[in-house]
Amino acid sequence: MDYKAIAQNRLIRLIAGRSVMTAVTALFIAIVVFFAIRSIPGDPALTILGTDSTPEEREQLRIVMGLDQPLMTQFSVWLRQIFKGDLGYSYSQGRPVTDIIGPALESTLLLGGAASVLAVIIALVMGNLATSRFRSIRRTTDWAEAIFLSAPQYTVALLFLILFAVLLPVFPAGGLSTRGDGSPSDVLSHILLPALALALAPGAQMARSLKTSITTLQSTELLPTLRARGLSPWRLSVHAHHNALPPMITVLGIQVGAMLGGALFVEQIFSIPGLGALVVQSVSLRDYTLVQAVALLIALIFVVVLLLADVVNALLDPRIRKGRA
Amino acid sequence: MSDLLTAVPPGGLDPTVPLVLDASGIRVSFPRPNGKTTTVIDGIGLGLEYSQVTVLLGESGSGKTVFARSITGLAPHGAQVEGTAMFGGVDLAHASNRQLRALHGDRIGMVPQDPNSSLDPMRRIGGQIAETLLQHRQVPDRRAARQRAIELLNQVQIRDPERVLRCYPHEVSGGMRQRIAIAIAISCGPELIVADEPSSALDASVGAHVVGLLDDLRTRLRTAILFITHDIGIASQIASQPHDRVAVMLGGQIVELGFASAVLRSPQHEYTRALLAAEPSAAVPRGRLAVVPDAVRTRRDWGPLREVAPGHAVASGSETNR
Amino acid sequence: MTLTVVTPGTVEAAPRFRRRSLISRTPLRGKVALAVVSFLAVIALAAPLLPLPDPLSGDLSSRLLPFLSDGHPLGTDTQGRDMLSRLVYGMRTSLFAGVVPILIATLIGLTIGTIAGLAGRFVNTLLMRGVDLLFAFPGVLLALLLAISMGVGLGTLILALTLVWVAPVARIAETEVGRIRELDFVTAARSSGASGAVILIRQIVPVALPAVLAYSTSLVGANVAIAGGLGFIGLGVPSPQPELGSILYEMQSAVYSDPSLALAPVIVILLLSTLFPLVGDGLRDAITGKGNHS
Repeated sequence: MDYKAIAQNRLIRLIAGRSVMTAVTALFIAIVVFFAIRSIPGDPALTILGTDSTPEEREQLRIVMGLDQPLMTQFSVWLRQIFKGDLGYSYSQGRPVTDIIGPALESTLLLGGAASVLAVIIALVMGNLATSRFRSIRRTTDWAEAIFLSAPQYTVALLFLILFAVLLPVFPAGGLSTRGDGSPSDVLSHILLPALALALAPGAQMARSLKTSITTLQSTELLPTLRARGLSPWRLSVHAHHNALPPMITVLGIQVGAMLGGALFVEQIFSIPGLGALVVQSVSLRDYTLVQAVALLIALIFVVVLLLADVVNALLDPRIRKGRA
Repeated sequence: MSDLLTAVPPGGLDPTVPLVLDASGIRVSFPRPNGKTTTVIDGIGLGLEYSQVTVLLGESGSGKTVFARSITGLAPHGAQVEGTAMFGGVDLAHASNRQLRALHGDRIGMVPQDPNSSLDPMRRIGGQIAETLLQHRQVPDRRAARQRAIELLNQVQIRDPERVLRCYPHEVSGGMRQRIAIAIAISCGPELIVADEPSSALDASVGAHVVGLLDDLRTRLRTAILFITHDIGIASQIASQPHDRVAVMLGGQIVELGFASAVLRSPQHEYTRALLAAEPSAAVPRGRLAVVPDAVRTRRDWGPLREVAPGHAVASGSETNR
Repeated sequence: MTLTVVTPGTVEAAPRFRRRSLISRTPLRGKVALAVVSFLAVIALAAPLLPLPDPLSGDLSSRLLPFLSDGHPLGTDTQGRDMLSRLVYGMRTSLFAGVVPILIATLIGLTIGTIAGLAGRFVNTLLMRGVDLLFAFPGVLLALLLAISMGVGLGTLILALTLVWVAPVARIAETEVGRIRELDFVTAARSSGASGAVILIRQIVPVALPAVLAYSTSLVGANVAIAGGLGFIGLGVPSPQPELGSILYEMQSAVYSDPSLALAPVIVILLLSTLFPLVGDGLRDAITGKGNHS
């Protein structure tokens, strides 16, 4: 192994640096989540055992839960448990957290994945329309973009639910699949509305990035020069989109965070058993072990996605990958 | 006008050789948001011959780029072009997009001004050269394209072409990028090359090499070159053959047109004279800096060109014509 | 031929520039949005003075009355409370929770950003990396964590939301200050003897202010959305206090039986969330001079 070459390889140095930053951020996230949960007013033992428990019982439970230890010790114990894969025990569901999180993660990933795909499609369509030759198309797209960007995801989700599932029963109103039918088309029809509700804002944001990139390219020499070579409109489009991709990916990475946040509400509204719904439920049930674990997971997914976006960009853009000559 | 174009200098071209590009009556105007239109170029023409360099000489704002692009079918967005620009039987000023796409890159090559933004930064150089070749079906497949690309890079004096093919644009120098742009411009054997200030973004010595390369190529390939510049020194460098010409542009009009040696050594128009006088040189005695008078620079009604000597025409409104 | 430099009389009179007022430079979209928002704000502020039924008390026997019922133009909610009244009072709370955190966050963020922008590399890195860490959380999640850890209530809601937005404002402020600091007029000020951070601040901050303020204004929309969202999952003001998000939540259970009633709060939230960014955009265009047509 040529270690020296590896150490000098720009790409590897880049990824390593970003990974370290991500790890530090992950630690910070863990700290915030932990101390936020611990600061919640009220006595967890009381919540779990109820008001007709005795002080001794509550004290015992507190000792079992490790709540009598100093905070720092609790924190390191919690960290160690996480690394061992033990996320705690959810009292509201009577199961280890790890069992609960698995399927919920799947559902959220499915929803998030579908939303991301839809967002990219929206971005491509709107971004290209926004650079159309016709002024009326451009203006309509601008308006749509402004609305998509600012409409809060839960409002849109509710609107979709009312309009397309209740008033006009085109789509099913909730859940991930109709009972007994796990076919892809069924899942698709269930996931379309919630994914669309999540995808509007990120899609519009990416569309903006695409539009800016294309107009910039048109005003530099690149696109006019390529046109002067007699290249077909398709090839010109490929060049333009290829160049517009890195900023779009960065935007997508950031928007995944917005989608994760929005999933909290959208899953609730469409009754999708994902991480977001889990957070909401566990908050209202005061099951703080669960809240802790899920919040940690969501935030970690976000920073990992940001890291991935940076890595993908480094791989895509030769200027980042290879540095200046 | 035709007298000028067919006047034969000692050792010059055969007057019966057809023109590569014959543009006449070109008027370019831009519609303004307030409803009016601004006419930038008002009724001028130009004829280009094979193996001949024609320099469009003028300062920024003289309309040289707009004119050159309009007569080659690359008019800026929103421009309205009137007149004709015949190239191989096609009127470039009014051809369809499909016709233009077939000609551009294939029979008309373009060397852009800025070497930093004329190549796609995200793709390898070899791929970009091959792309034009494949688009115009100059080669049957990718492998042949790669071979041809190496030949082209050799022609533009790039050493180690195999390595350069695999590089990305930002990994090579500006001068090399410009040579690559030239390689792409000549890749399909064009009859006409438009070079828009190809050396102005480069260091003087690098730029001079690039200009020399273009000069050399047009002799070997018998291409016509329409060379746009504001720099008199570069103009005289590229117009190295006796049949090369200089067209001086001012305010959207051609005010002087003739063989390079005539125009640059005995200019007849006051603007050309002022330009040449303003050129810094060690030979000029110390004193006030020569400046082109405002009255000359802002005037827009110089009138049609009139021949004042064989192969040398000046605008009728010029002082020397009165 | 004599060569003179400039012949007077051949130069056209220079065009006269008049700087139009800020308001007139705002594009139409922004002005309309501002007008509507101001109208809504006035209604919300004047709520106690308006002849509205009590938003807190409801008669269960008249629950979920449809639009244009007698005395209830927008119907009633699941508890029989007048929807219009609840929406108006809810707008009050939501606007408060939407605007106040942004105001405070702008102040704090501007301070942090200015310090970071003017300071040396070490302090700058320290501050900005710290701020960046806050970015690791999706805004909603951070707000949620803060809200639950501090207990439910309007005060903690405001506090939680403020903390969420300090980071973006600080970032913008730092970028602006860092950019302005390199401009020539600052160098001129410094070389003419202006020293000390205080004087630099007096020079730089007023120039940075418009961009930062324009950015903050556009944040209000997102903040209203998040505040509503928190209300939607029960972390806003405790019920029965009306708040747009919690109203939405309550109506969710009625979605299947009376979907059109739920539309009213939906539309109000949509309106508020889309209008604020338009105002912000308009302001930004006016400041940067892009909106020269009205």
